[in-house]
Amino acid sequence: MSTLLPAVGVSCFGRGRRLQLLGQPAFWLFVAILAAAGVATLRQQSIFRDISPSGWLLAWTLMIVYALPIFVVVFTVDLFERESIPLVIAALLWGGIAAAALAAIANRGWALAFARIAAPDFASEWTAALVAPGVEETLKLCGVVLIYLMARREIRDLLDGFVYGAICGLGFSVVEDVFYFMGVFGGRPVAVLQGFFLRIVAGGLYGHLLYTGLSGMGVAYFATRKGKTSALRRISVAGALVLLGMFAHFLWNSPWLDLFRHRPWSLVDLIVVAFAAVVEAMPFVLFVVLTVVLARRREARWLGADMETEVDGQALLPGELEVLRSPRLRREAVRDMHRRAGPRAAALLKRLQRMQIDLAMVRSWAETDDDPALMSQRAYCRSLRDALSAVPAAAPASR
Amino acid sequence: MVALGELMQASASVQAKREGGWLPVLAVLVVIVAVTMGGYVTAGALSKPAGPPLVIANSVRISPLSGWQVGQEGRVGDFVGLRLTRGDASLDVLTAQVATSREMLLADYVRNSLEPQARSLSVSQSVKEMSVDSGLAGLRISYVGAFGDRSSQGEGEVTAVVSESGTGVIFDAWGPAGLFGYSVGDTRKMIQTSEIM
Repeated sequence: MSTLLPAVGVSCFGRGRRLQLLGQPAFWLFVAILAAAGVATLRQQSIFRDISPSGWLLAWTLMIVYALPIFVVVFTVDLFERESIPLVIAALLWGGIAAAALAAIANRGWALAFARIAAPDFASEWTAALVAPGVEETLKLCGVVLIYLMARREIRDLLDGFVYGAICGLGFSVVEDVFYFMGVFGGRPVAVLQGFFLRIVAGGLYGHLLYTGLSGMGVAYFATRKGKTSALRRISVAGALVLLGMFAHFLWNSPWLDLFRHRPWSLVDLIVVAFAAVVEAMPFVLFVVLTVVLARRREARWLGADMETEVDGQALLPGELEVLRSPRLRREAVRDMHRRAGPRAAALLKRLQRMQIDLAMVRSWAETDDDPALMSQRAYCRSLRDALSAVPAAAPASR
Repeated sequence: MVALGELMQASASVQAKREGGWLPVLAVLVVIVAVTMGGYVTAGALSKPAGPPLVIANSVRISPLSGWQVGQEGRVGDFVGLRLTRGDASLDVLTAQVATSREMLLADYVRNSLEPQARSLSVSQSVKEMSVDSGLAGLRISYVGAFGDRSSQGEGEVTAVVSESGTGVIFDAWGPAGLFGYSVGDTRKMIQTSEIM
């Protein structure tokens, strides 16, 4: 199997890629802000734990149970390329620690300023809607921008931006919700459950994850369309996506959608609130799903365009490109291989498919056809194919 | 292959240096600082006394900041005074003609005025020293509790100051739990600049 391992330094892209973070100024700013905000976050969590240890533990347990599957879904939304794990974790930490802590400070300051210019009643009712979206979306967006500045090659298409943005929003949402459970709903286990139902079960899909996912797509559009579209169009589209995320946040915070005004609620109230929240959230959720689906299709077309020149180059055989473009066909091919030639051959085919997708990614940024990274990735694909061919009954590697 | 690996690393290193640069990072830092602190700077710039100072019970002169409205006059236990409001937040400025000390005044207000109004009340253990601009020293505590028929929690802070002539002044600033923080800067500033006669 040792012949199948990529050579040292070859896999600068894909599963073994290396991030050159230490030399990046953005990395150091990221770390400095994260460290300072981390102290504030620990202090706040310590206060919450003192209020009600059992409530605090329940709040975190519920949020982790809620966040884990969402994390997995967002992380795997990009079918053709898994994002860098360290950067995804960085996005999560920025959202949950840096953006959340800074937003707590900033929201208070801008609320004070808003109260100076608005009538008291209006300020009381609209501060959350008019202050928080701008503040919170900007601070989360700064995290995505810093991630881009740290590792520009990691954001190559809209889906990359969506993933980093959504994960950042997810981190923010988790910490913010724990704050609400403990600080607003009261912190006792029953209150935490009530808060979880209203903020997560009823409205969980429509939240920071989607707002920042859209903003992240804006950053990705601006970053990846350089040289392909005019600067005006890049700024317009990116700005529109960011503003759309802010607008959705504004809608959710506005008194128009304030479903939690009168407490305590009866069981019927809770059901009505949950139903109303889901119905009101649906248009935006559908819009984001549609955007992601379109981005995935675009990515599939782009994959095909980039890889057509690789067909017959031994890294990719005729017929394999079609399989590669469809996750369903890829899975079927692996299952078919498993039936015909056993689990080892199926695992080899699966790895070959992944490396072929990585080849497409390398191809997208390689400046010349004989780029060393491109050549090594081709060689690695070939070595996998040779290994697969050596397995009895594995001969037709694809449909 | 080793040479190829070294070439790749060198290439990546060059690429990293090319990608680096402080300008965009500084731009991000400026945005973060502006968003985080800009509100306070703006609020400070907009914060100014609105209208002439109010004189309450011939004992205290206070200048409401912009956005604050004068509410009703009233009595709480042995205290008489005036309420200033901004949205859900309020500042009750109350006077007692005879006060022996700040400590007694504060304890008296909490025991005889605050507690009877509360269904539940939790007062901070620590008592903070403060002083108004005219030099008089005061004491401050914070509290959370449920008051009247409101279902939600309220929070606030009480400041007690005694003038040289023995007039006691209580400043009770309060609002809904979680939202009071938006107003505490204002209430502290109005207390700070008040004049105890």
